[in-house]
This record gives sequence, C-alpha cells and structure tokens, in this order.
Amino acid sequence: MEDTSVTDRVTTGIAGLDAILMGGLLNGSTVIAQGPPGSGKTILANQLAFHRACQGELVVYVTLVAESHTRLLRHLRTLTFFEPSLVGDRILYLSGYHALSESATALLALLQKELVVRRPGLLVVDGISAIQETHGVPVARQFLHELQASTESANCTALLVSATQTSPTPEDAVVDAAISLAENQVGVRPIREIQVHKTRGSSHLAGRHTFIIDGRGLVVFPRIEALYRMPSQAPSEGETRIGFGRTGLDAMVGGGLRTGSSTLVLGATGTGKTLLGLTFLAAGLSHNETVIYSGFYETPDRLLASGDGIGLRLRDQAAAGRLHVEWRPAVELFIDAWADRLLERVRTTRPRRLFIDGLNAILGGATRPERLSAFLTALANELRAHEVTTLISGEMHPIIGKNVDVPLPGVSPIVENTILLRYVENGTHLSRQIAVLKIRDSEHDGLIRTFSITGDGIVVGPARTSKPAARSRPRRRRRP
Amino acid sequence: MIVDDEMAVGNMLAACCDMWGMEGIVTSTAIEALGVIAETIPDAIVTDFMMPGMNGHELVRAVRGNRRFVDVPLILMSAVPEAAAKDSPAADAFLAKPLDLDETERVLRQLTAGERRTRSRDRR
Repeated sequence: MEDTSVTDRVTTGIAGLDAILMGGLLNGSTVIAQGPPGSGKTILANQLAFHRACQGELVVYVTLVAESHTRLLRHLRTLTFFEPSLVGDRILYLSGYHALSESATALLALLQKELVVRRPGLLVVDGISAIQETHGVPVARQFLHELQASTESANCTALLVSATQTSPTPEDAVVDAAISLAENQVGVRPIREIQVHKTRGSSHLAGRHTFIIDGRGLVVFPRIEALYRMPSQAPSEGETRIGFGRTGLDAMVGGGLRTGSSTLVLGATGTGKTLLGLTFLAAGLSHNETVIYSGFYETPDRLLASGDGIGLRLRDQAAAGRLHVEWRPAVELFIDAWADRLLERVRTTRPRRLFIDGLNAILGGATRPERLSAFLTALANELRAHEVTTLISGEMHPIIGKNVDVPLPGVSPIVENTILLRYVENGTHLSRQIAVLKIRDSEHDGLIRTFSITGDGIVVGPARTSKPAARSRPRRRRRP
Repeated sequence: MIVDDEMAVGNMLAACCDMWGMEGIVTSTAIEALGVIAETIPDAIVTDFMMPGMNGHELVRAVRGNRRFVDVPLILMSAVPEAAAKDSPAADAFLAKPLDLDETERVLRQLTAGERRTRSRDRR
C-alpha cells in the first residue's frame, strides 16, 4: 500500500472504506456520497455519524428529503451501530426540508446557525440534490460554495448525500472527495460497488470495490490486488523445505516445498486433492505448526471425517486450535471478502501452512473474471510475505484423460509448483497417478507414479516407467 | 400548538386535530412557536424533541419558566424515546413517533380543557 500520511484524518468506522481512503476522510473536508436510491448512501452517512459520535464529536444530520426521521430511525434501529443514547445527545437529526422549500438562503442560514451555535465535528446534509431540483443549478452551486466556506471556517467535516445519478453535478466541482455507490447486475447476481473518484490532497485506492449491506451496515472489501499492490512486508525467499510427511511424496518434490511457496494441486474430482492437502497440513501439525484449511465444499465435520479415514486424526488438532478450518460455502461468494477474512486469520494465527480447497470456487465467485490473475498474484504475494506455504487445489476436466486443463489460464506463472493427480484406466479398473509438473528453482522427480489412498494415508508407488516424464511439457508425453 | 421541524408530521397532526374538533397551529421551530404563544395562549403544546436551533427540551423549559403559560399542558414527542426521556424536563406527557393517533387523541383530550369538561359532564 502507498504510504500516505494519516495525520488529521477522521476515520469513517468502515474499515474497508478507511483502507480505500488511506486512513479516512481529511478533517474539515467536504465529501459527497452519490448513488441511486437504495444504494446505501444514507446507511453510510449514518454509520459515519454514529462512529464520529462514538469518538466524542457532535454530529448534526440535516435531511432535505421527504422521508421522515421516524422512518429513518426505525430502519437504523435494525443496525448494530445504532446507539439510541447518542441520538439527541451527540447526533441531532434536523429537517431542512421546510427551510429549503422557502429558499436555499433560508437553508444555508439554518446550517450556518447550527455550525456556529453547536460547533459540530461532522455535518451531514442528506438529499443535497434537492437544492438543484428545487432552485436550479446556479443556486445549488452558490449554496455549496457558501456552505463549504462555512464548514471550513468551523473546521467541520461535511458529508453531502446526493441521489444525483448524472455526472458531472454542481457538487462534483466543489467537493474535496467524491464517493459513489452503485448496485450492478452481473448475470443474475446484484453486486454492490463503491468507488472513490477523487480525494484532494490525498491518494486513494482507485477503482471499484465490492461492498455488502448487512446488520453491521456497509462492509467494504477493497480489491485485494489494489490493497496489496505491494505486499504488506517484504516476502521472504524461503530456503527451508517442508514436506508432506510421506517419504515417497517428499522425494518427488525434491525433499519438500520451499517455505512461502504456492503449489497448485490439479486433478479431476475424486483423485485425492483434498486428502493430499490434508496430508500436507497434518505434516505441519506433527511439527507443532499452526495450519489453516480454507475450503468451500466439505463441511468441517465431513472434512475431519475424511482425515480420520486416512488416519490423520485432525479432530484433536482442530479442538486444540492449531488446525483452523475455514468453511465458506461457494454460494454468493465475494472473493475479496473471502480473501480479507483469510488474511485476517493468517495475521492473527500466524500459520506455517495453508490449504485452499479449491480454486474453482474462487473462479466461480469472481464477478469480474478479468481480475482473477491479479487477485491471485496479490494474494499469493501477501501469503508469501507472511511466510505461509500454500497448497491450492484446482479441479480439472475430464475425469479420465491425458489433457492437463488448468482451470484458469495464466494461473501457472503465479504458483511456484504444480502437482498433477489423475485417473488412468487400468484394464477393468481405474488407478490414480501423481506427477510433479513443476517445482520452481529446484530439482524434482519427473516421474509419473501410481498412488493409493489407504487407511494409513497416501502411499506413493513406484514409477510407471524408467523414462523420465517431460518436465516442462507433460502433455506431450505418451502413455507407455 | 404543534412544533416540529418536519412540517409533514406537524401538518398531519394538525389535520387530525381538525377531525377531533380541535384547531392545530403548526410551526417548524421553537423560536417561532414562542412568538406565536406570546400572542395566543394555546390549550396545549405538542413539540418534537430534535429541531434546529432550540430543541424540544429547551422549549419546554422556556414555556415552564414563564408564569403566563404555567397551566399549558406540554407534550414531548420523539422517534427516539430513550434520548428524549433522558434529562427530560417537566413535560406532561410523552408521545413516541410514529404517533399512535388513538393514543395522541386520548392524551390531548385528557390534558386539554375539553377533556376536563367532558369528565365533569360525565360525573354529573
């Protein structure tokens, strides 16, 4: 992230938005929040108001819209940030509707009086577009100039909430920062997005970022590739190797995977990707490491039962808090929200190993697929910066076949290592094969081996051939 | 006398008063209300809590502080009863927003002379 001074900033109380704003709004600035009805502008404004009130500031919230305060407050009561004891004491809800119906000057006089008499730290004017609609653009522009002069002299931060959907607006030219909220339809899925358009005297994370509205109000998830354009700390080039705790497997990967590296485990459904990942985690647990499983398909119970089935005994480790199982069903997934939670868990538990099971859920959750390569690169870099060695499973199609179909074109360069699992027809039955396609900067076993999943874990058998498999172009290898 | 910066609420209540056989005068600020009652003493004052300039608490104190209005019933209303009830001055009644019109009528009749006259008539 860019290093921007956070001096004299006011936090919004919305962590993701503060990250986008590089620490918060500039104190004393005039900010506009724009968006169509239902986009979350008023919730954002109230969330900011309650947060600033909790910080000890007085907030004056003036509405110019027809919605009554009673209705507004009834909706706000359902949100966790709403604290009734602050209303009337630290937050004053006032109506400017009547004054505006008289003239913009009457409204300005009302606001100036509040600024002078009450000295609020934050002034919210909700429905600012009503000035233009009622009295026209020149009057609205003049009003904003004069209001800004008043808030500046009162050292008061002002948030103007506008339902204007056209741009540019009279407000755009005057304000110090502009935030837009929108709900876009991606296929059948509605996606809320927030964007900071400008911040005078400051930088911000440009572009659109996803947000949701739930019982907490707005929860903003900055794009991971924007937030971690540079890793939060310098990635370490791991010299240590960590393995699977299975002799045959470890020999195939040159003794182990480099710490901090990322490994893609490709395979068709049922080939053993999840069990290979659990084996990797179990090896870390046997060395008293903390590990994380982040999955989308199997419930924690089913996952631990799968581990039991091959003798990994993960339940005790999960109960002891050394194995963290993060299960997020791959339904309506927001990849930035998922990554944010994962990285938070990484920061708090400091794991050595992570298994992300699997890549296809992330691909499915990406509402803008063009982001994926950058998203995964930033995530991998940040995990490397925390010295986390990561396995990511990816499902291939078809179930039986020679082709290696990487789920996301361009994902291979992101990962240092690639392991392939597959089924082969062997007479009247299927057997499993494993091959290491890539281990970056390291020697590895290039042979295709059979393996089996037993009650005692994954057992790798001998190579199928004495000829080494092609390392860089495994597709060209012919079956013996 | 109805005092509310949300004129839509004040006008709605005035229309109800009309239906209940009372006359409602609406102002959008407490200062304006004090000017009106200096001319005409109302049978009751219904005031919102949060308003620009002088708020409902301050209006109640100002009215109570004037011996001319000592008998005027004062009713405070708010969408946030927790806040309005805190440090509450001596209002005669409190109404939570959104207003329950039956409750509002009952409180108004009880506190105004009309209600008292009705009670006297009932006793007879």
